[in-house]
Amino acid sequence: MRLSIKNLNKTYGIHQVLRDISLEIEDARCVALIGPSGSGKSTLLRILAGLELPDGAERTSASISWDGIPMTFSEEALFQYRRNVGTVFQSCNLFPHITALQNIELPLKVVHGQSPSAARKEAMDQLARLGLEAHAGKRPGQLSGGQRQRVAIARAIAVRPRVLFLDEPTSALDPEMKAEVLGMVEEIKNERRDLILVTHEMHFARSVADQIVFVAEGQILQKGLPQEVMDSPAHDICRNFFARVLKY
Amino acid sequence: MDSIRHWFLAPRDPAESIPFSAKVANVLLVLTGVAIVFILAFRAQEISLNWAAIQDYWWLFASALGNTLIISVGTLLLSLPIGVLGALSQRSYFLPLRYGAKTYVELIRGTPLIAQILLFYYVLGSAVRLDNAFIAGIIILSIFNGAYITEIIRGGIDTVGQTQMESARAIGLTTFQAYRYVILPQALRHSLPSLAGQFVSMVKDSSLLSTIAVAEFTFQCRQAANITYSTFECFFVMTVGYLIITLPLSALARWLERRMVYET
Repeated sequence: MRLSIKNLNKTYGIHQVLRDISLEIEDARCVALIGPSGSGKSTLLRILAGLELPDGAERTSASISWDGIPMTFSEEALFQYRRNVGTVFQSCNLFPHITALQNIELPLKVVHGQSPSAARKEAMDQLARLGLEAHAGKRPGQLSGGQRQRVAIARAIAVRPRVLFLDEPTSALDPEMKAEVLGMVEEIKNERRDLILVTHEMHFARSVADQIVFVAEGQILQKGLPQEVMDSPAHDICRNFFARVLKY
Repeated sequence: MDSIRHWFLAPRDPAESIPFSAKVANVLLVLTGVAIVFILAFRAQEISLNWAAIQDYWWLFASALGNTLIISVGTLLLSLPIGVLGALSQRSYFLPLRYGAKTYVELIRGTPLIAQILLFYYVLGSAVRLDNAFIAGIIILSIFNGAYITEIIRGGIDTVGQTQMESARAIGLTTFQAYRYVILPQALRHSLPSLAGQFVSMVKDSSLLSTIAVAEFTFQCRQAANITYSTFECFFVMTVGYLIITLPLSALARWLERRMVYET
């Protein structure tokens, strides 16, 4: 992916969450946004995913472009945009009233106009890949947290998105389930699919991300290869953050 | 001693089910109590019941009950879409629609049904030449029930939660599709117990259509009572008649609720 962000601001009420963000990513597959809680990294991800508007909305002074193509922030343009990207949140992604299989089928049929049989085949293939065929008929409430997140990711990638956004996909999981979800994320990266994730899993970010972007207090403090950012933090905030999260 | 316990006390463990025989026995016990009270009350007033007098009118009762059933089903089918539209309108970005729906709910819920029936039928109905009291009755009852159902479904939508809307948007659904496939199916499930209660009320409320001479059950029971002078017998038939509709309706709702239950 090639991503370029210029002059991005986001304010909620009197609270400015993103302060004049500019970022250039050249040729990366997997970008990890890291930083302290409340730093604005999730907001940044949500704007990139087309779920939130930058300040100024349609007349924003911010510019974001993917592979040279600028994003427009009208309701209609964002709706089109969201059809071609995938987003997975921390939890509650799946729809609890339908089965795992139907959850994967729904966007294929309704958003992408696939025939019921094609959608079913694709959804079954996705579940088979996860080794979850036996759970196809179960509702999300009957799956483990890790299985739910994996099905949610499978639903997002079944539509072959240009980019996959993951917003702290493992934060609500216990360690064993974390590992199973992170394994899947790594697999997706190896399939040469672009992804941007917000994560608190530093070891994972280090081994899987091509680029790490450190966000704090609404600004990007550092960007670079994982080794660079983690081994030689350029800023006190980064240094303190790594000292704290990598202590144990 | 232990077996007597099972008849009268629920198991300490909430997961353990109450034996069917105990359920039946306890319901019968209560019904017997009610029957005894009424029998004694009738005795005290020295009222003797004459069932033979109303026997010839069984077809009147049956057809009137059929009419009430048709009115109820018609109202159910018409008021549910009204309620869904009302609930969605309350969340509309178009403010006339939003406040229109809110005003509709407040006006209908804040005024007596009998006033609405008379006003709608004799004023609005006459103005548009809707003389068929039966059809007018179904429409009026649907408007009345629609207001309550609007509120019930609005509450159901609130319980579904913002994250579901967010997920729906994230997979590329339009707002309409999100409501159609994600929000409403869940909201309706959450609303089912309250909806069932509302529909049971609606069956009984249909008795007020007797004021515009719709040949529904209450109206015809009264007619029979006037002709035969067997008032209490006719009121007894009336009571049982409504239960014939409302009890299966409650059972159906409970069955649907069980079938649709899922963990969140």
